Amino acid sequence: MQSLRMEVEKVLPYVEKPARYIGAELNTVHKCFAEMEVKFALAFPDVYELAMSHLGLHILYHVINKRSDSLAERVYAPWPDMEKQMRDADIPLYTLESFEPVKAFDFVGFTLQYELSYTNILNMLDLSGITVWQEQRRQDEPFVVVGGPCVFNPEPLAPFVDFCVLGEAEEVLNEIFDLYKQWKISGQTRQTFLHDVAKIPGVYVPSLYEVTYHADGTVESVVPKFTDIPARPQKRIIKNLDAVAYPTDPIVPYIDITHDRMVIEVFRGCMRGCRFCQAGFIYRPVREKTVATLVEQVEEMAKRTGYDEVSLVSLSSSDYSCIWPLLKELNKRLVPKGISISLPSLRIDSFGLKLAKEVQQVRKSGLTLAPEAGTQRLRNVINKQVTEENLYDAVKDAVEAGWRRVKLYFMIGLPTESEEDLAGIVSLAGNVSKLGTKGPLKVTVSTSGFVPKPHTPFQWVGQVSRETFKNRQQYILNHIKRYRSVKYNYHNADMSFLEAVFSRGDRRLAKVLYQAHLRGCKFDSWDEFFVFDIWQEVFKQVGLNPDFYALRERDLDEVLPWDHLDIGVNKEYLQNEYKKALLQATTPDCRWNQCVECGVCSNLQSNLEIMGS
Amino acid sequence: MHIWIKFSKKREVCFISHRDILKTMIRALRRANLPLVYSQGFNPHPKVTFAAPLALGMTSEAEYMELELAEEMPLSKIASALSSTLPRGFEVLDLYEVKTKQPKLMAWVERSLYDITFKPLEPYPVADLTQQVKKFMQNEELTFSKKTKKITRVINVKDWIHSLDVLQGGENIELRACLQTGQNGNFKVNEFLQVIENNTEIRCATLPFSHRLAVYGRIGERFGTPEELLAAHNLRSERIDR
Repeated sequence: MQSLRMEVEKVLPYVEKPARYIGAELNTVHKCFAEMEVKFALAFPDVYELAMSHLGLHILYHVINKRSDSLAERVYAPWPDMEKQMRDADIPLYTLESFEPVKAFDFVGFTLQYELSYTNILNMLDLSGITVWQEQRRQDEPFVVVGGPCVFNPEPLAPFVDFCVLGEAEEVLNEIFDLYKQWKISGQTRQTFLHDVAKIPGVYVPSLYEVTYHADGTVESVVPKFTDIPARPQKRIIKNLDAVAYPTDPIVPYIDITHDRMVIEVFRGCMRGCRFCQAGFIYRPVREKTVATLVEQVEEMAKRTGYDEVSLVSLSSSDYSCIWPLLKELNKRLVPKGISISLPSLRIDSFGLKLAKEVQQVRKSGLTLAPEAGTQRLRNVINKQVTEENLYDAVKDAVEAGWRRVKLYFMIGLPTESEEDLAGIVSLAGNVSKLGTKGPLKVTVSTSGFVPKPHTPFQWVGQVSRETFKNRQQYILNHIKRYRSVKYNYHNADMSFLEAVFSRGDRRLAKVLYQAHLRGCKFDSWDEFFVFDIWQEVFKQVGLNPDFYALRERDLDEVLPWDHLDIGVNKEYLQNEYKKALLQATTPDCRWNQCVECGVCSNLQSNLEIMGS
Repeated sequence: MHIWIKFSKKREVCFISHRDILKTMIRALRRANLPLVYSQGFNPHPKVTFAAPLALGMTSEAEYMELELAEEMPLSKIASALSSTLPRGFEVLDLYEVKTKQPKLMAWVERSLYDITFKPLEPYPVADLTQQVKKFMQNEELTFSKKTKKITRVINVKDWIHSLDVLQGGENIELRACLQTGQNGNFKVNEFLQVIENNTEIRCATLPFSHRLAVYGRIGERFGTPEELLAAHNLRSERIDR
């Protein structure tokens, strides 16, 4: 829409980084807006630089735009300076391709990547002029859709959302679009569409499920309002990743973004079974691509983007069964073109280091390793199967190969954590710094607060209090000081607390989100915008106790607000893993050992797809 | 093979910064599969430079980049390869092969010609504006406080305004100004307009929109465009069919 574009251009000289708001990057898709039957606004509830670094949206942009009857366009959260300009000039939220208002689309799809982006979703709906509460939305307004990892407990957002897509969306979106086209011609109500879409496997329509509560505030039941929709909607997966479309022509931004390089997805899922890790459960089973497909896709991408770096991504790329043949082939083809390869998640052992040496022939600035916990006991509890020796060996190799700085990631507040574990973090960091050959090694230790996540063996665990977090941070700070070459950073404890509230929250929390939004909360994951005091006031005002959600240890038999969403892994398996955790018993990776009987393969009628076996 | 590429920057990409355009051009050159010459060292980068940075928000029909290719290639082939890989909003206009030793464009360019459009607080007719501009140009001294990060210097910018014409008056004023550009003094359009406001009755009601028409450097005793510099040395060029 040209008139909207002109209005936007008038305010751009007054905002920081105007290139965030103009689109026109390389490889964007521009279709005739009026001619398309299904128009989908792909929304990321955070700033451009983060949004553009997110692979999922590039995939969906590609999948939707491949259809000749549909278009996908992008919209991101305007930074507060731009939001002010837009509100002052009455500019509605618009998409970056056609400059059409978001409200003119058939669907607005938000990706739920982290809990502290929820207020931005409400703010973006408001900026679009879309009715924020789902039940009040009018016939001609877009359907509000959510997906992404946090969709496996979407309950705090449920009253704002028309429907949720559980799991991988490449196939199910096509089914939804086909249904939508029929519905649009039929002229029936929104309610009819929602009822019908709820029958598509992988779709969850929160408004069609009745939630009842016990007197103590816990959930009594979540029951579908109709008999022809599933009691437990199940997530979707793509069984053959080689066969599914991949964006080999991703949009190349003009401005620097967080991850400014080609991204190739090597496999989905992870079977390591770290008990705190939500991705390790919700994305099961592992499905790998073949080397031939990967090489072909990377070469095509290089041709279409001009990037000089490719990142091999997955939950743990060094676990790819064909990693050596892949690296050998990629090096052969990419080095002559001046393209380097990076592996973002590195395994802590000499195998990981051998890989790192293979790929990072140029830059050796920093090495990042995540032991997660300070003692072997606690690492057994969380099933992070790395020993102290693994870590020291890896660092020794790294020093020899020329790395000069090491970053170590840990979590604090893990179940059963004691002072000994905190002392373990300190001594581990100190020992690593001593491995330098030319004086002590520069080590940066970062801790984040443990947030119990739905669908993990720790979903029943109560988070430690904010005071405990702060005391433990202080403990580490006090003791780590004696190592001059070790630096310590830690994540804001108030933020971890709020994440824990919403990650395991129920529908009643929607009122909190709404009030916080009205009172100006936005970009809550950004230190410069996060105001915890407002949140505390809002909880009081609404009459909900945040501790009930974040701190309470839940009974193993309790109905959890997300129990009715089926990730394919059996709840009994998670319960069993939790019990094993408390006994410090580990569970092996089923890729290299026998089946652990988590249930995902039989429940989803799929298999592990391991190429090298 | 040493080449100069003249290109335009249109409205849809006017908010892309100079630094980001350098990156964009390098990626376009890589997509075009041209045999770029890379610098030596730990982080090799292609040897590509620009004549003169363009301020954010401006369009231009006279941007120049200078680069080195490892092999000889027909100019038409380079032009078509690059044209097909440039993002929307950029267009290759001319290509020149530079066979004799010439100065770096970055060091050579000294002046830029701009069309500057804005809505005035009061709509003066052309004749009136022309009169005001004439008087303005007769000033012996035009001072301007140029701010750098820490210090503010008061400078005389009289010699930095090489020509000034009124193209349009009334509700939309359009000026054409030739201003000092480059390493020996750089006079920004916004700074120039401040000097105009300080020394005439003209006042901007809106932010100006500016377009660069040409850049000039010394050719012997006179000033001319990069094309004219090459023509003076009989060097080959390729104009792109549009």
